[in-house]
Amino acid sequence: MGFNSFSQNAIQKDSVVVLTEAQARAAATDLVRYDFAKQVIKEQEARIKNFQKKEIEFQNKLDIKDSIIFHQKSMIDIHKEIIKNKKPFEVHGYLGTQSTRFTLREPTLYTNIMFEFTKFNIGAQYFLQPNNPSGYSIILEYKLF
Amino acid sequence: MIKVLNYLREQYLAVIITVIWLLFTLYSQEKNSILLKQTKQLEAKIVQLKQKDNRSSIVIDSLSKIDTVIVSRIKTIKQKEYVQVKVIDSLPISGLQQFFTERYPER
Repeated sequence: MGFNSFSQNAIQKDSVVVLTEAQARAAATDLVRYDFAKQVIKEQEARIKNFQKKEIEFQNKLDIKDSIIFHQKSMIDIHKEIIKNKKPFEVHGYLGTQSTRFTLREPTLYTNIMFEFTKFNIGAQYFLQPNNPSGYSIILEYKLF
Repeated sequence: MIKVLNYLREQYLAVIITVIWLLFTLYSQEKNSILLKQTKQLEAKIVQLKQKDNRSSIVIDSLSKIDTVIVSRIKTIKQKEYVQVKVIDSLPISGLQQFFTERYPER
């Protein structure tokens, strides 16, 4: 083997391949590059798997967002229906007792029906008292707070 | 009381209309309360979905971080490759022989 030449015994039993120094250096460089390329491929494969997972997760996120939009649309529809059904006032019926001052003597038993608007209520009341005649009256209330 | 009953009997049409109107109003109130219940259920579902969405965002963030780590690992590999190639360039003949001997040991 000369100074400027390099020989390599290949896997084949009998053959001998003679390489120049430049060829041997190029072959060694290519082999090193090949080794590192294998490592890079491994990492890139991991990266691709990671991207695939990310894609699935983005798809899930998209589905979730779609569901949120769907539910919010349903809510809007329900609110529209509520607004359509909502009357300008509500009707409530009450049954109660009223004392005379802070005593239990001659309490008044009353029942009333009220039409309640946003700012005021209007209704009729029927009342009973043990020692007085019963009667009815009209109630008009203004909402202070 | 009897007076009231007599009055109502006289005004039977007004009473019927009032009763129908009352029933209709009560029915709409009931319908509205059912609709409000449905709204509450939908709100709860939306809250759940938003939580799920937040969890999904966290997963995506962690996957992005993993990607950054992989990219930095690839950069390190490339740097190592560059250094190794430089080493090969500066190897003496004996070093090259050793390189091939270590790589392809004789069996």
